Amino acid sequence: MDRREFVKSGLLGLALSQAPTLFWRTALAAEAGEKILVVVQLSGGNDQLNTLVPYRQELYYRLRPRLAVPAREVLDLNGRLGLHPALRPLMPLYEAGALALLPQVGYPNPSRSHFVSMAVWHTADPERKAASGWLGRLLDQGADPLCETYLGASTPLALTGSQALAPSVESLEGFELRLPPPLRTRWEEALLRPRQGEAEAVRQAFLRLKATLAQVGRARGVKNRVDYPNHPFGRALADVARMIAAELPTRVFYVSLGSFDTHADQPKRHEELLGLLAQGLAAFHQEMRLLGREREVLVLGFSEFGRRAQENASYGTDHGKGGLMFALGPVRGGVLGPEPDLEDLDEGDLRFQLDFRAVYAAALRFLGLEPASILGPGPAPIPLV
Amino acid sequence: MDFTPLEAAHLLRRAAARGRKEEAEALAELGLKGAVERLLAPPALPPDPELPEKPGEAWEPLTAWWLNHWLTTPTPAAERLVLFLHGHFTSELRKVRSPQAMSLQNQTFRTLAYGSFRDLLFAVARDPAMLLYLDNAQSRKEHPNENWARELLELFTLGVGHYGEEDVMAAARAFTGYSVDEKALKAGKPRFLFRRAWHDPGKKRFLGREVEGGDEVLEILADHPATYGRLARKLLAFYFAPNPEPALEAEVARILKEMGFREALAYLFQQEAFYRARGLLVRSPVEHVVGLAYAASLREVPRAWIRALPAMGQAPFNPPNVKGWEGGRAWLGDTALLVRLNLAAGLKGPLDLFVFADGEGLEALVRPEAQLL
Repeated sequence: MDRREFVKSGLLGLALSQAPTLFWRTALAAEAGEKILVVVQLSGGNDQLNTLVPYRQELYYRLRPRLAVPAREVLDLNGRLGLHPALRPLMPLYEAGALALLPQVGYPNPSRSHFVSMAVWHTADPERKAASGWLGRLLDQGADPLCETYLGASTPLALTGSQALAPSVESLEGFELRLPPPLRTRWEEALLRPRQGEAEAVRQAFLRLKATLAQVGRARGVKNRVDYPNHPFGRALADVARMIAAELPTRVFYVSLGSFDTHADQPKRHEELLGLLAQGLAAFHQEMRLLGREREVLVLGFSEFGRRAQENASYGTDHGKGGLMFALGPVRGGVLGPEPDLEDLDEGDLRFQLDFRAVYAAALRFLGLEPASILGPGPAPIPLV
Repeated sequence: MDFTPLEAAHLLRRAAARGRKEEAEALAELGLKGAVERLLAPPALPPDPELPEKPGEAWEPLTAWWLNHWLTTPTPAAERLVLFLHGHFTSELRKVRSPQAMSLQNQTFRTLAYGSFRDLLFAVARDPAMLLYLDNAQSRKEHPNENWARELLELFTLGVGHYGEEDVMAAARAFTGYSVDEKALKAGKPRFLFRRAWHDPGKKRFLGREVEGGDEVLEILADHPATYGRLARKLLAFYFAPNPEPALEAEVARILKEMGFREALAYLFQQEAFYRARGLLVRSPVEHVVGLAYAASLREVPRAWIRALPAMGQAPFNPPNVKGWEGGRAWLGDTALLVRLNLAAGLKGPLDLFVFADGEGLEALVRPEAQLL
């Protein structure tokens, strides 16, 4: 589907929809300068205290005698908080005001279960009743599933609507159908007849695959202009940049990095993951600048929870509550929130101070959407962008 | 109920994810009861695998070891249950870093597959791969590590809603000292070691009862009805349909608790409803490559197919997280289906798709129905 058809189908969706959003107007008006959201999921529960380190607090070092990042190693941000040294590639972006750090983000009645907590973040429903993802609900409003893409094998709940499902592309390079022509014809013939039940679900998935194949083919000819870390996360960001450069109609990209579930031997593993994160993000931001798109692409990072303030006996940390979010791009830079109060913990965890839905709302507004149409009545957007 | 080769093909697909026409015909001649007996015979064991020392190089040989056994064993039904158990009691090679511990866990699933859940649970709590994967091997009384205790309650037994945070902490304290012999592990012979000095011998309150050690926690969990309700739901979603009748679920839960997995499967495979439940399960990538290799009469699963498994969404020994594989429609991602279709491009020679895809010839493979069990 080319852009014109995409916009046309969108207008049809608008005509049929009871609750039109601003999405289509934006898609129509902003051919060259569409806003794009890239969500980065840090799976497993990233440790806020060792990412954004309160290195002036003596209590931090008492709670983590073996695990604390030494004060002399942190990258100072404001005289009180500093970044983990592995995040050095992000420092120029922080200094340029392109990086926002949001400490202790969470939701009411937090769960320490990976799966419950991740589902809350994916559905944007702390009541745990919603069955569709927050970005998937965008697809349900009539948007083409090709306006969202997951870089990985299987689409996460966040990009799953009650009707539609965003495509998942593991890598642009391998994404090609290699069936010999007669068999390919048989495949396409088999897709013409509707089925019931799971066979119909497979048919729908095949139809979506057919559309995604056509789409992705256009991006494969585009080369990256910068180097990314040679790791699935780095390669995923590199492919996102190529799809943006190819001007596909994708408005939301979703990538993940993990696992941050550092119950044991945390320091080495955490350093490695933060290094991949920082190198990948710095390369991506650089490529957006080279494309002249850095004002139009917002990167939003989250993890399902932070970790316990006190270290455990296996050189690691257990599941906690409030965690760190970050945003990169055309944002109000800096640390957007107070320093953690280690005297006032919630069952040993950092208290959550900011509802993640307020950050989601800001991201939706950035895309030109009315947040309430996706998130329902909830916390007002924070002034992020 | 008629038990013709068509029903036998359905049984083979669901029980073993592997079969050819002549087997379906032979099973049909045995009659339903005889066919179920034959399929659920005691598992044949594979020889110990030869694995490289470096964990980074071990995934492919380890996976080939299991899947080639699945392809050639006279008891393939045990292997589909091993896959179920691997997705339930997960461990990941990339974290465990010991290929020997991973193959040992796989073998433990096989030897205990048809027995009681209680025995399996006790074995898993002493399984070196599990103790390393969920960090219990390092858990000491000073600061108990909560990882194993939490997933034991949330994923392996009761499920969310049947326990509180204080039960997680109590269980974590109870399991301190359940560890792994480091020397033996380094020598490639992983084994359980109870480190008494690391264990917290104090009294703990767990689910309203007073306990001291981990085995008492396991007894409570192995006796708890919520454990079997959850397990029955998962087992039926894997073998029957995503939303079974509550009565069937209750009966399977009862049999699981009283008799174990073999009796639960034997019961399910003799229900008329089982034979009406056609095309309700999406075939997993592992089942797809084993089933296809078998339909093509290959003697081993091609290496290229094994290497394609991660992109299809299922790398054995490396589940995506501790919850295992989501399954069902989650197998229908674009990349996953694309890789599946591209497998068909490389196939030549005669194919017996009677069991695999209700049909003959390559074109049956690219139909939506060929992706179902």
